[in-house]
Amino acid sequence: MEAEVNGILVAAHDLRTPISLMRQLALSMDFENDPKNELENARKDLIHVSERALRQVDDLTKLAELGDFCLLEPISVHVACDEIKNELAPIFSFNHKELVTDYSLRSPLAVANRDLLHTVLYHFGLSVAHYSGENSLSILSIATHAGKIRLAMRDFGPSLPLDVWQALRSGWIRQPMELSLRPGSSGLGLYIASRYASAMHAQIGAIRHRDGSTFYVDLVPSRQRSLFE
Amino acid sequence: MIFVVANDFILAKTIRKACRKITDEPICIDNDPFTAIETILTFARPNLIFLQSLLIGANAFAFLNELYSHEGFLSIPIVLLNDLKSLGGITPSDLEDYNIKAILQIDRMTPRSIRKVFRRYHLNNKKIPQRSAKGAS
Repeated sequence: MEAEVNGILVAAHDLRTPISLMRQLALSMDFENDPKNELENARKDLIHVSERALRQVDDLTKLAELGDFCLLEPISVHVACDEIKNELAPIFSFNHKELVTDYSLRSPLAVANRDLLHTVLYHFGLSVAHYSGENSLSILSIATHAGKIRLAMRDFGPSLPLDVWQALRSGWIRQPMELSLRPGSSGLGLYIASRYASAMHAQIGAIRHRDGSTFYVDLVPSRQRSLFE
Repeated sequence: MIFVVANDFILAKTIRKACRKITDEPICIDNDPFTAIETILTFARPNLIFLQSLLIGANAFAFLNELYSHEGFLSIPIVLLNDLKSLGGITPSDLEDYNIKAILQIDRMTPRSIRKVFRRYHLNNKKIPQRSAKGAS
């Protein structure tokens, strides 16, 4: 019962921020006096924030439905990273930051679930987009590490708090409230990333640097040849 | 100059827009408390600061401690933008020590309440019109 209540509280906490923002945006729209472009900008902001909130709801639903069985298949990590880069580009731009890619592997395939991997990378990207330094560059990279395929997101900004790094180092976050990278967040995103990675037999982690952090997910490489090689 | 230090850019924009109805002075936005302090120390002392209670890398009180460590900044009126359900043990005396003149709850404030505290606590509030040409209150 307690776990259920905590889960509800976490979800409520995380949804509070986007809903408050949507309210503020709606209140700020003055249809009598605002020029058309200002109203259009407010409309775009409303869409952006509401889509963020809906995404959180989707992730929570998927988490609840995550069972013992998860469909795994060979996935092109290049394609997965390109997709996430395109999706995150507006968010990075919004926060006056940029995400670039650095692929050091040719056409690698990893065993993963396309949907879950996308969400893991998305939550890494969200953390990086908000937490990294202003006007900074973030790097999404693909490399090998200890026989695994490592997809990593490096940011330049404040170093990762020690308690967050320690929680991520174990690769498994027991509950969202253990860590929170930014205000208004319960750490739900990284908790979801941790659970999804585990469902794919993958592992997430983080590296602390003096000038920022790296979030990574290590995937099992697929030995199946790609049809596109 | 007015300063808005808030971790969400959209929130800061809505506050700026609300204030814009009754003033033409520059309204700066920053989501990083440390670069905000740099800007304040470099350019101009603000007549009012809207400050969110939870910020990236620090909280509002860490920001204020840093700002007040520099001489001449203690008199800047602060409006706290609170996103917590309660103020968690902060006393009225604490608020006075940090020159926090008003607290706005983010999930309940309106453009009108923003303008009300702006008029009331702005350092040069005698120069602010009670009603703008556009009829905003």
